[in-house]
Amino acid sequence: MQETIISSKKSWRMMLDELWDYREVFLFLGWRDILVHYRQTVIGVVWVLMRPLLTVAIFTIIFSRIAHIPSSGAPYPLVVFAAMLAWQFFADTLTYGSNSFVVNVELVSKVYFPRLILPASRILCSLVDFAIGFFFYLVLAVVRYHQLPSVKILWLPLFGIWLCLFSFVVSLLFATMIVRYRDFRHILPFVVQLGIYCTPVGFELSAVPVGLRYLLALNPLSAIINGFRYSLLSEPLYAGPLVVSVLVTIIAAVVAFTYFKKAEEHFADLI
Amino acid sequence: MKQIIVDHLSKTYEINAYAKRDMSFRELLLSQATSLFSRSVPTSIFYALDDVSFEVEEGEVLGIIGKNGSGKSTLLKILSKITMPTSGRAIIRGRVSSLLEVGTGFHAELTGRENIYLSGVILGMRRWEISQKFDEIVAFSGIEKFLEIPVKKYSSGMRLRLAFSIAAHLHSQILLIDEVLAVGDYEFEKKCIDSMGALGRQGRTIIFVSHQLQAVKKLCSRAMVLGKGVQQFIGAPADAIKAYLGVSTLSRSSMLWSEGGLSLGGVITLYSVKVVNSALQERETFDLDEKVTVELSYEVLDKQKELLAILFFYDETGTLLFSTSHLLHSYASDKTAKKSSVLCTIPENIFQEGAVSVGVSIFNRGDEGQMMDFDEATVFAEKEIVSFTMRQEDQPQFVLDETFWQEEKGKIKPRVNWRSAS
Repeated sequence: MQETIISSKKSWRMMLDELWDYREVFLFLGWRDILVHYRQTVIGVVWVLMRPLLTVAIFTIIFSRIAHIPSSGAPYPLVVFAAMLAWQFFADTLTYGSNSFVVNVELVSKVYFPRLILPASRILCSLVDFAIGFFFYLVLAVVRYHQLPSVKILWLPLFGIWLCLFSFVVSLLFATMIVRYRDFRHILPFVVQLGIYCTPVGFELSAVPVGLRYLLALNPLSAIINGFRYSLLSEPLYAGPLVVSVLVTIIAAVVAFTYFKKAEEHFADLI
Repeated sequence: MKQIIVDHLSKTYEINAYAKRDMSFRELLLSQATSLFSRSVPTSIFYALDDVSFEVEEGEVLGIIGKNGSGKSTLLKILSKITMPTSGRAIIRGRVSSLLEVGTGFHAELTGRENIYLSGVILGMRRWEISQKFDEIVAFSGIEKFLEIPVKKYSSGMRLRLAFSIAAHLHSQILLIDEVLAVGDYEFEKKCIDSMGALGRQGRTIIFVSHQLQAVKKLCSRAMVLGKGVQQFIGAPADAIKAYLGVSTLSRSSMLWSEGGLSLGGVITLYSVKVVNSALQERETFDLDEKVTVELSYEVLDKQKELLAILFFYDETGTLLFSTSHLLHSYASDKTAKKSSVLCTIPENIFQEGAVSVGVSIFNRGDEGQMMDFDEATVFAEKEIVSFTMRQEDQPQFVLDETFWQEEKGKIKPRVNWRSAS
């Protein structure tokens, strides 16, 4: 028989057990978000494509045609598109995931499940968007540029998992802060807007000096995007910055989880 | 087997910390900055729950009664893990579903079918269990036709029915239920109560929080009284209700507070409320053409205060029929005897047949020209203090369809005069 002990302390071990126990809630909340996300949009799937495609078009015109940023050989629109796949995933997960506690106030204050599930289930929705975007990336690459991906594409899932983890960690951090300090809700859109300029979306790492690569690596997305382009377009992989990005991700994860666990006790009282 | 063991459970809030909850980051920075220059404000600790211990056996239905803010909901929230205790612990053996609100987990954009799955899973059912019970849930709710349209297009009644039928099909061994019954209309409430009774008979362990004393009496095998976070009583429901109301005898038509009466904030002491006939004899049943009198015995302690007694009369569905008020101080001041009584007589041929319950409120109108808010002014307010039954003597009824008759007979029964105009 299942025995639950309720006390003022909760161990990491208990948290993990619970997450497994509530896996169906995770799946159903994700499923809910996907249904709601697609149901009331008139052009549904088209909408998912509009944003990256428009961004790709703008970047192509500004950076490639006007600023003449050098490209390592791959077609520039694909270089931007590959990065946009990762960036859009991150931005969506962050935007929705960060608000997930506040938006689901009724759930948080009326029923128990591991709170981690709320921002985590948002990833499922982003994954669907990602899959649609990725499909069109492949269509564009093959049909327009006649580029079949190489075997390096097998590395993509690894960078994809990293992207999921990093996006989750950042949205968990923000989500937890927003429960206590609602101002972060207003700060968030700026973070997302500015973030794209601190991320190598419009240019390749090969185009910037070595020192700047390390600086950019403080944003793990730059290594993830580097990985995406490596897998899809054979851009060289920069190991040094990659290690920096991994370390930053780990530190961010430790901070986010510790902060969340401490704050979780008071969630229902604060929200 | 003991299914729930609660062991010295406490929950405290720091009043100051609580005030901070709406603090924005800017305010936090400001307060941190100012606290560098000034001494920190001492925080006082508020006990929402103070050292509560009890055990619940398998199959038991435990009722928890108490006024608003007595810690009932906090206790339930701790047991359902929504919030953590500050100290002490609880052990729960078996799967728990908590129903703190009807319709938890509903999403307005999703269809009825989708919401059954979503809400079911959130409330602790497994997917296969929902699939298995799906048809039953739909049939119970009676929304078959609307299964495929978004819940936002449902009427509130439909939504409630759907939500409740999901709740009624939860198959956890332990159910924690909070005031769920207070939301619906009378019909729905009755359905809920019946269905909860059925759950209890199936051997489910239930903790049921309510301030509907009748429901607690009817459904629970034991009851606990909480007051200001402290466990005041645990035992048989009838005794718990007595303890809660502070009465020594509890009959339907009279309420006698124990020795010394019920002292309310140093303003007034209540001794009894009785339903009597015109000869001032206590009665439970009246004919439609008899006068009904409610007698209120009290002692005004603070003669400066203007106290207003209000009697509320409810029919058996809980609908307020009417209320009437009376100033109390004027009687107390011109009597030498300490204890005074007022009689409120309702004329004959007003009430319809059936049970009538009487609620009593006492308001402090405060000093001249002084405005008081509602909570501050309320000295005492309790529904269902006493009740009586109106019955119709030897009158042949129309032979009409029973339900038609029930619905169409109306709330009052005045004696009317029909005569021919010519």
